[in-house]
Amino acid sequence: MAEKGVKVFGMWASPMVIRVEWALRLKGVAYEYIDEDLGNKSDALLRYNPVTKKVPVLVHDGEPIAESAIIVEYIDEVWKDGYTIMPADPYERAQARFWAKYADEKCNAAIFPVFTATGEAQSKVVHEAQQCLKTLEKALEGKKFFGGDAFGYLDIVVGWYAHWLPIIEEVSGVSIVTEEELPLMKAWFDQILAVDVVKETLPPRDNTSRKTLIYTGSRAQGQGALVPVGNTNRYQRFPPTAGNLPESLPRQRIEVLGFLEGFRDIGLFHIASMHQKRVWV
Amino acid sequence: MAEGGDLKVLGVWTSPYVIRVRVALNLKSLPYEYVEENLGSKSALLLASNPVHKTVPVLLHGGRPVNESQVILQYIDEVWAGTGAPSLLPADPHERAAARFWAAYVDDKIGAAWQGMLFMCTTEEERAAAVARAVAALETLEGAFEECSKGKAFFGGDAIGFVDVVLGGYLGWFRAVDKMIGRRLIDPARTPLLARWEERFRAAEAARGVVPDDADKMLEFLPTVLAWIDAFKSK
Repeated sequence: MAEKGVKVFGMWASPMVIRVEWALRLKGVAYEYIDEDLGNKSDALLRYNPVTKKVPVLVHDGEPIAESAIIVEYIDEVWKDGYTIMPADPYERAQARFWAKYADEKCNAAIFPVFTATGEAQSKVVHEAQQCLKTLEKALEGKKFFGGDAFGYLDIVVGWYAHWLPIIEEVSGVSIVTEEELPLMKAWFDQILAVDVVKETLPPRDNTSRKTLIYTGSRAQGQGALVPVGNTNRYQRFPPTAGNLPESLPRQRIEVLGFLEGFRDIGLFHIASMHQKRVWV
Repeated sequence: MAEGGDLKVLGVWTSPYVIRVRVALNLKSLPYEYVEENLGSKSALLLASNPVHKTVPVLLHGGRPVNESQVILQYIDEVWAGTGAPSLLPADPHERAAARFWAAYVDDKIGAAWQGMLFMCTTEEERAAAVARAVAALETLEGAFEECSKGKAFFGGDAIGFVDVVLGGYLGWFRAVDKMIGRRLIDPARTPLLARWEERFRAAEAARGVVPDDADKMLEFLPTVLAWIDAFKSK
């Protein structure tokens, strides 16, 4: 059976998935996008990625590849005559891979707590997140993009910050990436948001689309869903479980928390009203 | 770039991440200066070369630092491509992606369990739990080995490849843990393919003198590493 073509198994709010879409679109590769309900994963996803069961998974002519950063390199290698994603020079490539790992491991771990911390603890975690981003920002010095003049591998890996961090800032009521603290990163956000493939793929930011959100924890322990308590602004877990999610967080924060879990555990969000299937050519 | 250019590795002899880099350099027959670091008193060169993480391994090539072991491995593979030694990563993009996937899996699952069983547990129960996680991951890797090796000697096929060196880096500590717990992590009864793979890997020229085989020596060194970790935590 010769299964032909490119499929992307994803979740619409996941920043990891969007990396893959950016890479494919830069190369002008047509793909079928399959949106997964991560609380109820499809047989296909589990068959294509039995080891980690996560999105994104790229399926190319029937062969699956998992792990977003690995997929991006794969795309660059297979469609090598298209747009150049990885730097040409091995030393530059090593730098890009180094910073990608730093961002995914250190920066993400520093950013996530901003969202769950409150009061004095919050200003401490904001400061730590800023320190992490300041270190990363050094790789931008004198350049428009991390990739230099053109949007490249490291921009693909961390570009999601440009859309997601302002959302986190808004719902957490903090400022992380400011002109004073992170001027290069702030300027780079503008560059990222102007890139065509980015504009084409960013998920909606407005509140309407998040109104019907139900948060489903997708960690192995299978934490319960958060459901609204009547008409109030409070959410309760159903079934109740132990977890590090404070029950008394205001609704908006809880919505975006789930949204945000996407970058840490690859999409824990289930959008009750949205089950998309997009075909892009 | 042709062969040559001075190469230096800053390392700690027990580190799985350092060991894999040294095996890779040996596979490519690349001479290098090895500098043993004391992470309780880091050298100026280390701090200058890896200011972000301040740890080993660091590869210095013509004085320019490359950090993060898997990044270093790919750098070595790319710079010295086609110089006679087989590539660490396969040529086919899908196989490359698979190798990178399994290497990431190794460092994610085995790496976390290794830290847990040696450096982070405070009770024997915690150690046992970490050991169980390692064994579970090794069982998955047994399947991966079957898939990747296609009946040949290594994950990389006939020659040692990327996943081999990444996993192989842990073998020194595995032998020490085996002694500690009185049974083998890579148990021939549970993971026979990996058990035979370990013998072949250890016997390879490139692993000689670099993959530790003396469990007692490793266990004697363990308190030093624990002290380094304590000092780091208290900062």
